[in-house]
Amino acid sequence: MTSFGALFKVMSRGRFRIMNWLIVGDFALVIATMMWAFATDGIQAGDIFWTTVAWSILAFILAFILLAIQTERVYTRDTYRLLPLGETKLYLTDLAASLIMFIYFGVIQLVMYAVAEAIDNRYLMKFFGEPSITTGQAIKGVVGFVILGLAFVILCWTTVSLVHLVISATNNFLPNTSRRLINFILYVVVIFLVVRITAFLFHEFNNVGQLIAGGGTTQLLINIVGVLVVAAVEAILNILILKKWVETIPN
Amino acid sequence: MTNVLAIDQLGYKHNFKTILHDVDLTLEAGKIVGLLGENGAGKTTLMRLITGSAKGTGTIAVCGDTQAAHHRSHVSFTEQLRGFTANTRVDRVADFYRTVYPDFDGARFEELVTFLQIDTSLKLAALSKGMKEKVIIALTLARQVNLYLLDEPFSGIDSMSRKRIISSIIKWKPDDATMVISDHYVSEIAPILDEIVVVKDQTVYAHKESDAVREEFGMGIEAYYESLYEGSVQHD
Repeated sequence: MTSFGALFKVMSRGRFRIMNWLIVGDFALVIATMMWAFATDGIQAGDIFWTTVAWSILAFILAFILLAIQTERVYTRDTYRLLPLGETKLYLTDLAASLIMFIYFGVIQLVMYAVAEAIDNRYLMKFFGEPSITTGQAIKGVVGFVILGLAFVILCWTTVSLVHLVISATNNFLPNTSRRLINFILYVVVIFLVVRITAFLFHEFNNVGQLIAGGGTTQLLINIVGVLVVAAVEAILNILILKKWVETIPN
Repeated sequence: MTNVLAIDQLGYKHNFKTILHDVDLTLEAGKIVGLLGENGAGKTTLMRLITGSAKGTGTIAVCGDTQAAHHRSHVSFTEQLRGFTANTRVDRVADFYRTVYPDFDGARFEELVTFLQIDTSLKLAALSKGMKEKVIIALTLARQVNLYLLDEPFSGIDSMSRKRIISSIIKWKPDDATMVISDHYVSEIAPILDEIVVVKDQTVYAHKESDAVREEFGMGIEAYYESLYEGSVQHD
């Protein structure tokens, strides 16, 4: 049987390369933007930091999408589905490889923020002035923000997988007309879910600071656990569908 | 002889269309078996069902194990390397196999690479159809398993490459392993086959030993196979 370590190694290798290319691209865009700014209006206080953040948002979205594509490819490729292991290990390792690579990407982005902040002569500290919360509260806020963010990333990936696997499974046994109907219904459901999750996400992120400052850590934990429970239910469904109905793309 | 494969009442439908039904098949260890049938007969589907890549009804036991996840540690299948990008080099693909398959024999792979004259520094996108087929054969045969499934390994490749692939099959097949080779060109593989399985009318239409075909019908494998389609020979 293929071990978790071996599978994780081969799954993360390609994703690691993609993340590195994305980091290089992101960095190049920040440098190019700053050179452009230097040549035109000159660089003002905060320009380096905000330029880094702006390109970083786009890079994060791209990282999320590219990793989702890598994750989904595994389910329908014989290269992975023929490996001597169960679907549960395949699914969880696949998800873990993407998550770890996303965290790696996030850490590099944080380093880039820190470097930009240092180059910008501690612009952010001056911008926000004297903090109204303690260092402990700030750390709790950042940790809460990161954990909630990662929980949402997992939830989004499990949702994408659920839709993909349901479509893949129904495509195998339903006639063409029914397939189109099912796909249409699924697209509507997905759009509805994306809108609702996005609204929920914005609401939650807006509340993280207030929850921490107001001592609402328990409420934040409940929200994180709630998101992870939904993701776990979706993951169980995904493994079940993968095991019972999802076929690979034929030769 | 022990059975390496036992299929009982296997059926498969795709989009409500029956592809295979009532398939019963038992293969003994140590044989080279030709899986014959015209295009679209269901040969590839049968192989995919054995590996668990396709989901059907009925029972498939590989080395006595009926769970699909366990089948895969006994079966090596010629998959088309779709999980790799076109820029992946052959030696990287081999590294992948070496890492994920505990039964992958690196030394054997190197021997196969030399014998089949494969340049492992090439990217998958740079491989000709014949060269890609050789890479797939080398990867498939480098695993030490009980059942090898070679799905049309000779389609679209030149005769010299075919001969090399056939030679590699004879040279590197472990004595106790069974090899199933699907094809609709019979003439070149007929001499190496111990048995033939003909897929026709959405099921296993005939399963015979090659020697029995020659003795019973007084004709070669190719002639027998063609006669099944022409209707001049009825199977039992």
